[in-house]
Amino acid sequence: MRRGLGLVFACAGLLAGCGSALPDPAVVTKLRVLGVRASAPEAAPGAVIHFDALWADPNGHGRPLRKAWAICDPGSGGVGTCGDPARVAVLGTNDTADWTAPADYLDGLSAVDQQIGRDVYVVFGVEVDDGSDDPDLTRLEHDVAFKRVRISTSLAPNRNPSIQALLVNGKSSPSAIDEDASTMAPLFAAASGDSRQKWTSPDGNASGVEDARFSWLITAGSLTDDITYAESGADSVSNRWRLPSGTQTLTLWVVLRDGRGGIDWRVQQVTLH
Amino acid sequence: MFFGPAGIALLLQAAAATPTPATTLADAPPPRLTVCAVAGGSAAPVPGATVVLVGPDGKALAGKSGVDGCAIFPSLDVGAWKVTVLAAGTSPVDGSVQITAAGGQTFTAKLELAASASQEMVVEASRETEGETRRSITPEEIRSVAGSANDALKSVQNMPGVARSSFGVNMLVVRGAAPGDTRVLLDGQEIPQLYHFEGIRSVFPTEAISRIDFLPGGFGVRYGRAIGGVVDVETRPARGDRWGGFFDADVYDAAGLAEGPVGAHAKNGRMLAAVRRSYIDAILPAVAPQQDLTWTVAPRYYDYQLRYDLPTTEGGTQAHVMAYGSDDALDFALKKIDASGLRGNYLFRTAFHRIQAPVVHPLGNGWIATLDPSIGYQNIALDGAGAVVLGGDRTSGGLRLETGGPLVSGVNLLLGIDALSTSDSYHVNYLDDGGTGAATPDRRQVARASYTSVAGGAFAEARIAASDRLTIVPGMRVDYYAPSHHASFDPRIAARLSFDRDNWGKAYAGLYHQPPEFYQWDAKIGNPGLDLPVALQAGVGGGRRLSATTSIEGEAFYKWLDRLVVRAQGDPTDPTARTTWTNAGIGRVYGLELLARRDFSEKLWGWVSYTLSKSERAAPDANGWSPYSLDQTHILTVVAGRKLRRNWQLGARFRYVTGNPTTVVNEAVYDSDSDHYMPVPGFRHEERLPPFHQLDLRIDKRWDWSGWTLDAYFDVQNVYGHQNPEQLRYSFDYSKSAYVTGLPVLPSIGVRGEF
Repeated sequence: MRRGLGLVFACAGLLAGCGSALPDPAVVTKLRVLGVRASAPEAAPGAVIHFDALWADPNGHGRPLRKAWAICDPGSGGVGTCGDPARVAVLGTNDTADWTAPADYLDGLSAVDQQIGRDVYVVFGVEVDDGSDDPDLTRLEHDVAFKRVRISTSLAPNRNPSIQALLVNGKSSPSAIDEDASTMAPLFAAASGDSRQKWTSPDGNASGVEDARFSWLITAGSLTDDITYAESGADSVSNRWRLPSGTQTLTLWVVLRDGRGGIDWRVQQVTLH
Repeated sequence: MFFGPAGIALLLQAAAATPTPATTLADAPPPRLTVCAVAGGSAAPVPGATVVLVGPDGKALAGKSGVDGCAIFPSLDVGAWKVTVLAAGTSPVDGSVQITAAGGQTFTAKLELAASASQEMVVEASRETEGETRRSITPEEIRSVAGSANDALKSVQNMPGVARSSFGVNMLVVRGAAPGDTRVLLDGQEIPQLYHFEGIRSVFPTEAISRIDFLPGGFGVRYGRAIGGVVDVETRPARGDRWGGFFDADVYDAAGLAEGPVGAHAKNGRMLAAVRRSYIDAILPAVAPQQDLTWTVAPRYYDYQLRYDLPTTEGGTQAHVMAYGSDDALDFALKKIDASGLRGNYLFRTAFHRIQAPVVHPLGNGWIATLDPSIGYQNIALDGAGAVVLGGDRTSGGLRLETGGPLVSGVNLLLGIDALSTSDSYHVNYLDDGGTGAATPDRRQVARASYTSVAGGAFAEARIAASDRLTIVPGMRVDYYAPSHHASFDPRIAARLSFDRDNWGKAYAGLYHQPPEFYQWDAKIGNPGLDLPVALQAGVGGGRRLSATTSIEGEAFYKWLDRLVVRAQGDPTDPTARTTWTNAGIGRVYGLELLARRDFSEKLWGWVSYTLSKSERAAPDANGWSPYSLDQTHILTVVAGRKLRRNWQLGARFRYVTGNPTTVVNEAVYDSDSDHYMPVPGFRHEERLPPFHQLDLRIDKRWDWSGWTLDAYFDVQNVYGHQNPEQLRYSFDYSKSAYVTGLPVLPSIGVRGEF
């Protein structure tokens, strides 16, 4: 019982010094995937699932990008094995993709295990399109993301949450902000009332209500919190955005996750005067 | 030591009845007189004591007691001899003995602490027995080593074979073994917890111990159920001449100890009581920022020790009862998301209480028996912001029975059994990704169960004086574990060859087994099919005594580790996958240790410790052999102290250690579900952090007044402020990295009063 007290190590780490500052994850400065969505994060065998992705290229000035979609049945090494072509099926190179879950995907499992289901991974990649066919992904600015999709016969499958409201500086569509740059613009977001589903663990021993976890991302400035959670029994959160100085157009992304693969997002552009 | 100080003393006395190469002159006839020096209270042997004999004709002879506390005089004239035994800090013992033509007499001198002396018996460095690697540290040394904060267990880290832990966390990584592979024993029983908060302070005060023995490998069959090393801490009895004690305060905590006789002339025994309490909880909330976290219980700890020694009976039976315990707690709420994406309440609480009651009884003909029962209770509660919530209670009962003595001429036998019963009652609630990295809330596991286990062992060891110079120690140990029904057999052999009085060599080899942790064996949360991890240890070494107080020694060692318990990779597509364990891990460790040492009795004292080693691991999912996470090729520690006039003392410690292996992340993939980048690591531990080096300095001043003394010290760690990289920290997408550096210049002060 005296082993593995990582918490204490973390406390010890608080006493230590850290090296140079690392980039703020909330500030998007390069080509980056911010979320991948399945129309149904949990679907039955034979169902058609639609995928789309949220990506940002704030400094790309509209440069051409290449995208690719794939479905992966990973090995025991996890998503790292999705580099194995034998485990991957390409779904397309458009902004979105569709995949039909094989009707026999759960064959061989017991009825109980079929209700619990099994996961597949959908992989989305985006890179700068330089017109070359060189497959070396590392030579160009790129980002790769994945998400799990559960295939099950569950009677209460997980579904995506939805963002009902996003307010910047008290307005739902603030095309421009005239505030002093030094002020902190208030932010507010709310999930729809039915976003937070109840869940039960596969062994039935644990149950709970889904999270409503809001990730905040911006192109410039700083945020009081990168991530905010709606409190138990609530659906809304607030935050504050310290705006940068100078006239410019800013982008705010808010991504809502339920913690089980369900996702929704909103994008808001703001011109700062 | 397994049976406490009195036990080892009597064992050694019994052993001394048989000449051994360690203490016998080459080609000497059977000894006419053996003089043994033992501590008056603990009966622990006192090596290095001066023995002076004056014969019937007035001729004087002198000698020094050896590692077993005994000096042997092989050739004496028949008649009455006067005996005087002297040792630092004790009152001389005078006596006489009648030497007969048959010889074989033994004179035992019980050395009592001088009234004005320090409360600890200063024991010489080496207590090595035949073939076994045993390095000792005295309380005086512990209190004087710069940077060790007067801490008993931290001081062990200055010995060869011990890897340096990051951030000052004091894990005992001995000869490349995992921290949990090394057992720390207090008077023969395992300590449930070594440090307050895993590193701030040992749970047992230096002032209550008589010595620490560090056995990095090749230890005898008395020590079981450990494949790494052993740290053997021996407590001391209270003084018997009068009541006294000390108080101590530094930046972390304050402690006090009182001890003395019960009844006139200690006719009802002796009593020692000590307590320590931290005051970090009073300081931290006032100085730490409050906007990001709220303290419910700021870190606080306390520990206590109570030891009562019964009077020794006329038959020589010795017994004592010792109760000790510890309690740590912290509780805070993190308002913002931490680097792991967690927020919420963090709770850590652990406590234990133990009672031990060893009894040592002479059986006659040089045989003694020791019975050592113990009971204990331990509690732990942990909440890691909801990601892991666990609580558990452990009750345990232990029993050791050991007997030893001369079997035939030149052969001593040691027989023993030990058993430990533990009952764990636990509840856990944690996100279990089954080893896949896919920890969604519906992978949460909840378990509430209990696990009761019994481990019993029996051992036998013979010490055979094969010649005047060579001693061979074969031994065997068997252990049985229930309810898993596993058994192990550990044959071990060691030998020591004395080339002459000052030069010796040794070799050893043996098997060592240990059980998995209970949670790894438990059917609810582990794998009951796990087998026992095993190690083959072998070594060869030697040493030379350069003077009465200076010695050098070296040792080459090899260790093969097999059936190591490792986490099994699950199926990432299976939501029911849960973490399990296998015996698929293997390891190998080899290296060289050097130790040059000058005793604390000298004005300039200290040691140079150097370890050259390589520790590697391999597992089925690994790409061949890779360095162990705390593999440190070079570990150099230089400890020095200089006693000055007017009770000033300077101390210094310098350390140079190869940087820990690290796995570099070259690529990362974004996990849209968890909103984190998953690193795609390169080869495991392919690179290393830069080397660690640090200088610590300490200055002590003691003032003596009538009846009491006051010590004050000023200790500065990392004097030249080197920013030692301890860890590689990555940006959120692993595209950039920076070092997390260790402690900056860290001054501390403390005072200690003794009365």
